[in-house]
Amino acid sequence: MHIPDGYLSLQTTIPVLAGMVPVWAVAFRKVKKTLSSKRIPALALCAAFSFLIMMFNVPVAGGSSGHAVGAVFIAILLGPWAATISVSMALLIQALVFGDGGIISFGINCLNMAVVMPFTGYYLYKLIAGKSKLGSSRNLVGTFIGSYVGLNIAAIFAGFELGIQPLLFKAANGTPLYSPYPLSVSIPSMALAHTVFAGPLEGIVTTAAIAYIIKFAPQLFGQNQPILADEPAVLSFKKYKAILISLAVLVVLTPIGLLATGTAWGEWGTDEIKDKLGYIPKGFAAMADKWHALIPDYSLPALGVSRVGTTLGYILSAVVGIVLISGLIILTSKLILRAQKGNK
Amino acid sequence: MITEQKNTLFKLDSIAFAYSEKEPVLNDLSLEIFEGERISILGANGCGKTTLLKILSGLIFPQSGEFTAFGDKIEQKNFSDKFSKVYHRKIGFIFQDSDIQLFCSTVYEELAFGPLQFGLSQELVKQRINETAQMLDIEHLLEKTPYKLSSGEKKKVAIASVLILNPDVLILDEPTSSLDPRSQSWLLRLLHTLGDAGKTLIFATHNLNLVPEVSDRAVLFDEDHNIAADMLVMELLKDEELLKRVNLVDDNYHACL
Amino acid sequence: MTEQRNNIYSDIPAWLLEKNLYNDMEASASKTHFIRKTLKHISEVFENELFCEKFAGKPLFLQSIDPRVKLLTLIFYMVLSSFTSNIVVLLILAVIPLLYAKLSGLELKDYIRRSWLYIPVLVLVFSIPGVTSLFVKGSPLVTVLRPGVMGLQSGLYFSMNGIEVALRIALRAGISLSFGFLLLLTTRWSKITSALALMHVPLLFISVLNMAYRYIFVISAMACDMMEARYLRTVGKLDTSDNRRFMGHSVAHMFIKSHYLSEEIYDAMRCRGFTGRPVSCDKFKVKGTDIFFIINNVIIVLILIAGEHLF
Repeated sequence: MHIPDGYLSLQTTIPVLAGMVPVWAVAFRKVKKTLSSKRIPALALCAAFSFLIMMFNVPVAGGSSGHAVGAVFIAILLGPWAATISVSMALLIQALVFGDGGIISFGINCLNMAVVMPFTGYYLYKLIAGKSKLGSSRNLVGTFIGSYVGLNIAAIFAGFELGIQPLLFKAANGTPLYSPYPLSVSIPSMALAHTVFAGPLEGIVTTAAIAYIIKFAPQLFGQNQPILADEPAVLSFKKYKAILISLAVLVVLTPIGLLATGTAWGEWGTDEIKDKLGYIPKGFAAMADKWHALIPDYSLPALGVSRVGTTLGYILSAVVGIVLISGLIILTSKLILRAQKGNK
Repeated sequence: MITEQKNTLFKLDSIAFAYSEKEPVLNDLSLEIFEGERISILGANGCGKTTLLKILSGLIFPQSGEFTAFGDKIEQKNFSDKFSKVYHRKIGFIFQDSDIQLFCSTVYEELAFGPLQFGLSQELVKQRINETAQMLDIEHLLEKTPYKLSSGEKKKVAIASVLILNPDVLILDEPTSSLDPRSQSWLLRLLHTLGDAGKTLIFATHNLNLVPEVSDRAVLFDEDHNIAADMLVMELLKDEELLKRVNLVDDNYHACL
Repeated sequence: MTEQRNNIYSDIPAWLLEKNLYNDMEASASKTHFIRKTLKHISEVFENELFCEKFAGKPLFLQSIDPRVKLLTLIFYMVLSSFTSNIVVLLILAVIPLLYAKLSGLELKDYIRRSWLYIPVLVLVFSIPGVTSLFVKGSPLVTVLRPGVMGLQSGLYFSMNGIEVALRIALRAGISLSFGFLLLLTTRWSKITSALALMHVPLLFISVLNMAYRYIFVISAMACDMMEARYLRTVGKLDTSDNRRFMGHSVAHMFIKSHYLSEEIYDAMRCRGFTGRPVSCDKFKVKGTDIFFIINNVIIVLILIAGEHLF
């Protein structure tokens, strides 16, 4: 369910990422209140642990194998907020270190697997298990259904996010710019894969794990005592201010990107700007003219206006661009290395 | 031998501790430890040595009885963050499993962790790290990641991370376990030096060979978690009957003194 | 001496002292495939770390850029790749990290394998059904089914548009990965997280993240031992459901162990003065070279935007 970069538009990923920031802040605060004072290493270990669960290959019917997410497992043991933090961190490390799940789509992956999944799974578990005894069959059935349904709902979310892409983001001629599958395909296919394969796996692994812990380490269930009173309040809105503001700016900016469905922002010609804003900013017009002067539109005049000439012009411009960029990078590298030697 | 006027550092007065109600770990235990002493706490596995060390280092608190350290009565309710910092600065605890103790990303950060927590200035921290690393010969490890070191190197780093705070009391849980012979003898020499410098050293171990090397006094636990003996090390090692009774030696043991 | 030996062995059942050779190990191989796969995954964790250590410490090009500057620059390139839908610009964006990698002393072959040969290929394959004429219209380029076959009125074909869509997604995935690996391979993990801390990500978050990263290795080693033990003990065939239950139990067992570990670690932290407020010691200064780096990348981005306008 890890969505790599490329499938989703920035207009989807960035607002979700921004929306995740307050969620994480709340999660940290909640966890500090409910988990015992040993929370810091406990959170870290849970994160490491959920990272590892995603590494565990489990056989699935039909000879293939998949992996569980474990979000509901952590939610049942330590509460859904703790699961949000640990699964998010596991996803961050996976994205940065292994490239599993994109970096830009990190927020989306967290929404699906670290928020939707533990919360739906946990509350469903609570609803079914009620006040039944730990390890009783009703309790274990609740565990199974909670983790099974939690994973599926997360998958449907992912399907939805993928499915809205061709609806919202297409080029002028109707070609999708991101994921091409419409909702009518993406949701059923995600749902099918998870109800039949990944879901039962998640359910069985979670239930077996919970049953094992009830049997061998029941004390782990009673440990969510309130923390000591003299805790310093490390978290406050102030701490997040800098990130929140910068993300807010991005959120404000994304609708501008939305306006541009059909053309990416760089492609805006002055005519389009005129259409959209009703006038052409003077500076922009001047800039655009200068660009045209520098590299004339579509073809270099020397090559003529024939079809071959246009194509050649394309290629030549691309080559010039690459050479220019390479030159810059190499130059930077040389200078920086020299400066470093100079320091020593 | 001149009898010195010794200051009491720790005083335990019939304390008790249990992790769960059914299994008391320590029961009605009384013990006094003096400044500058080198003391071994002996007993088979699971006799409560580690629990005692954790009480001494202020990590857990006895559920009954009285515990005094450095002249203050130690209780959970008056063990505030501020008090805790002062207390932990005086006592260095070296865990049996170095992996537990090393939680930072590099050895450098590992050494810096304690001093920074105690609010030392950046320059002083830097200077101390360099000096400590030099003393323990781990300068070449500073940029490395702790988990990738050998167990001997890990132990050195763990010790360095504690010594950098210059504690008055050093508590070591099974210090030589998982060390190769060369690291072992290095550690023993270091402990000698520290003892001579006037540090109070407290060991927990079930390795009898180590005891005469590092300590003068021995406190012996039996398998029912009670103190079976509290005497000079030399006397204890001669009492093979006693050692057999507390399961520290078996019939195959031959005292090699 | 011999007598004493026999004495010791007398409690051990005779079968344990016998030597034997098993020839039926083969049978178990297929049924424990998932364990081998898990072990392989876990060993990749370690391999990856060693790989990073090998390059991140070298005093080369990207390694000497301030991690904050590097982080922001590389993320900016990723964002740019998400913004643009121009194949040529995407292709150039794919080349840029290769140049950076080469100049920073990375082994290109391995770098390309990591960033391009797995996820982007997968992404491309998964996109193929989605970019047929069923979803993306256009003038036919490659015809799969002629019109009318299998009840499809207009047939099934790939258009230039469709192929572009698939390429675009795969290119973006690969570009994002390339820049991500570029960051990771030229920056120590601890530097990345201190950069985050200096960018006002709360310290509590950073210290949990750092510890999580470190404990992945501790728990991985634990899991490895467990899996290996199981792998070596498995003789003959096992039920799929048995295997699943075993994985469930392993997960639980690891949880219990790591929970205990976390309490001990907290104690160790308290012993060194920790009271819940993490302190960091890293201080970076943006140097002249960093500013130069930023300026050059801004120029590159401007060239790309100009390119976008052109094509």
